[in-house]
Amino acid sequence: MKNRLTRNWIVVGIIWAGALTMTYLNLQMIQQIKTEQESIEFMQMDDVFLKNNFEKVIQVLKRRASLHKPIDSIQIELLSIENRLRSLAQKKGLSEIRLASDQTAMQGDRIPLEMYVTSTYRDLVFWLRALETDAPFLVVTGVKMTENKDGEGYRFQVGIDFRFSVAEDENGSA
Amino acid sequence: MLKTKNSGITVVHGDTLFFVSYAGEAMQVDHAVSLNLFLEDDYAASSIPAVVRGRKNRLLVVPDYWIGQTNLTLQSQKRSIVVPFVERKLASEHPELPDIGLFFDYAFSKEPSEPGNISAFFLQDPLSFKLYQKLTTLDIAPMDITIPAYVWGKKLEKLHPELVDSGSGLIQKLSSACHLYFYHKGRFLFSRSIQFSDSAGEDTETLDALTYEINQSFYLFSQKEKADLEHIFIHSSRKEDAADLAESLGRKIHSLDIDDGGNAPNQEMTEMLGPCGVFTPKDLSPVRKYMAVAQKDHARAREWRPVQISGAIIGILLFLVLGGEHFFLLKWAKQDPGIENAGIMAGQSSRETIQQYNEALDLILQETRRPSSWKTMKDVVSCLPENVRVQEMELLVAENPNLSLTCVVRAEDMAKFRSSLSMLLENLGNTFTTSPRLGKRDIELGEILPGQGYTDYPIQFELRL
Repeated sequence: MKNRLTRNWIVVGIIWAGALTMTYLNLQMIQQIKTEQESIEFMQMDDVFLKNNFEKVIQVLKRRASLHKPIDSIQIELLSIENRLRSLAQKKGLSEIRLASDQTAMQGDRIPLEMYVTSTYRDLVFWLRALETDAPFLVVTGVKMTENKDGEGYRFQVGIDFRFSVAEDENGSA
Repeated sequence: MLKTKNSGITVVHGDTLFFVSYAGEAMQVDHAVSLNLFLEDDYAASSIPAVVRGRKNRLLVVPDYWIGQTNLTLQSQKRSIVVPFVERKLASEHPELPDIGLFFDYAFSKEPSEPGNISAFFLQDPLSFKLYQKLTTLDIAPMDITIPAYVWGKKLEKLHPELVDSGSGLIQKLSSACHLYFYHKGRFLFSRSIQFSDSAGEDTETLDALTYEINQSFYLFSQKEKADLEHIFIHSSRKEDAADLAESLGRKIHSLDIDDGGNAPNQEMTEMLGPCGVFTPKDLSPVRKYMAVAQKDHARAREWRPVQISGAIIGILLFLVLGGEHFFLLKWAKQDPGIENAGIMAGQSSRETIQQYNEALDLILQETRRPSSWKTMKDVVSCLPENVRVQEMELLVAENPNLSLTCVVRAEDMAKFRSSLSMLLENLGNTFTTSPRLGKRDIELGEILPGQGYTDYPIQFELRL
């Protein structure tokens, strides 16, 4: 009789264990559905945000894109950049232009360049301004100025970071 | 309940054990065996018919003297206190019956005049324990154990409810014996069995013997209860018995009319099973309406049974409801997967765009926070008084933006120098508002170079941008 009592308790226990397991599974599923719904709601909110701020988002993305120059080959691009810098410097009246780049010092998406020029203070400021406008991917990191020995003009050492992004080919690989 | 196919009862009458079942209202004996033979160790289950072996033994009816009664006094009516108390009392009163604690029950007395408030009843015949053990071994242990007196008591109470408050007696006359039952205020007091001798052929002799025994019992009743026996009933197949006994005893005797639904007790069955032979399934079922003893574990199992059944039913219902909920959730989670996936795809695309937008904003903000080189240089120049010439400058705008400036202040005297220096600091403070304001103590003065009518004061300072 004791066995029957125990057996009955075991049966009741199994039934309740099943009910509790089902409760746990349901809670899990509710949590999962809730998470998915929240995710969908967030996505919908993202959609609404994008629709309402489409122009602004595009502008920001374009601005961001302009901060990195897409390139195929670093060496070829460096040559092009050097020419561009030289040309702009000459245009702004800078002289004794010398450029140095060190690809080994490349840090992630940027290559440090050093440019040495002789110029007046005023011309250099104009050149720097033109550089910021024309080539936002060339970021001036520092300017060191020393007075020429003859007291005429200054010698400048300008540190520039060339920011680039490796362009993806047609297959989508970098 | 007793009419169900898979249940039956066992009856001990004389020295025979009967396995009985009910076919409708009619009683039938499926198997009968000598009690002594049944209790022998080598009596195996195979000796019992399969029909008996496979069914539930709901009740064991034993002779009246197999169950004893005692009155106990205890203030508490809590079962958790009463049960151990009764168990302890019985064990101490009957040390020769070690299993007595397993086979007892109790009822609270309704009468305050009674000697104890608890009426305990228990198996007291050693044979009863052996029989239960044997039945258990053969897997036909009875669920309850009772005596004909208890069943008769309830039957009388049902037929004549007015007897509950008085003393009453019942004479059950069979062909070979007569059973006397005495009750007071619904409580069974004692019973007697009078066997008719085979030689007592004459009715008058039997009647005389019966009258004598009944009178003795009346006297005993009066002695025990200090009260008169108010009602006497007789149950007999012979209708004249009531009148004969009334005349012989000199008092009124009521014939007990039993509504047996048209099924008069089988005479043969009545003689075979004794007092139990007249009971119908209605009399014996449900057991809880009359007093009966259940084995302790069995009683506990029965006590918990409603809880277990309720628990199981609620659990199953809960499981079904939760299963339904689970099914509903599954269906909900999987509905319109195409649309949902399309939404997710579109959403993912939007999310990527938003992520790119956030990254772009971070980068642009970073760019905006970084001081512009040309603006800084322009601002520095605009801060310099006319008599200050820049000799060296180092501008860092990438990390930890900083401006280091070496200048020469050309002044006629110290006062003019001081004035120029103050103007320079003032201008710098006004222009570079986000930078810590410089004071004169932040200016390093170099070697003073005197000239003709003027003095060059080399100065150097650093400004955190």
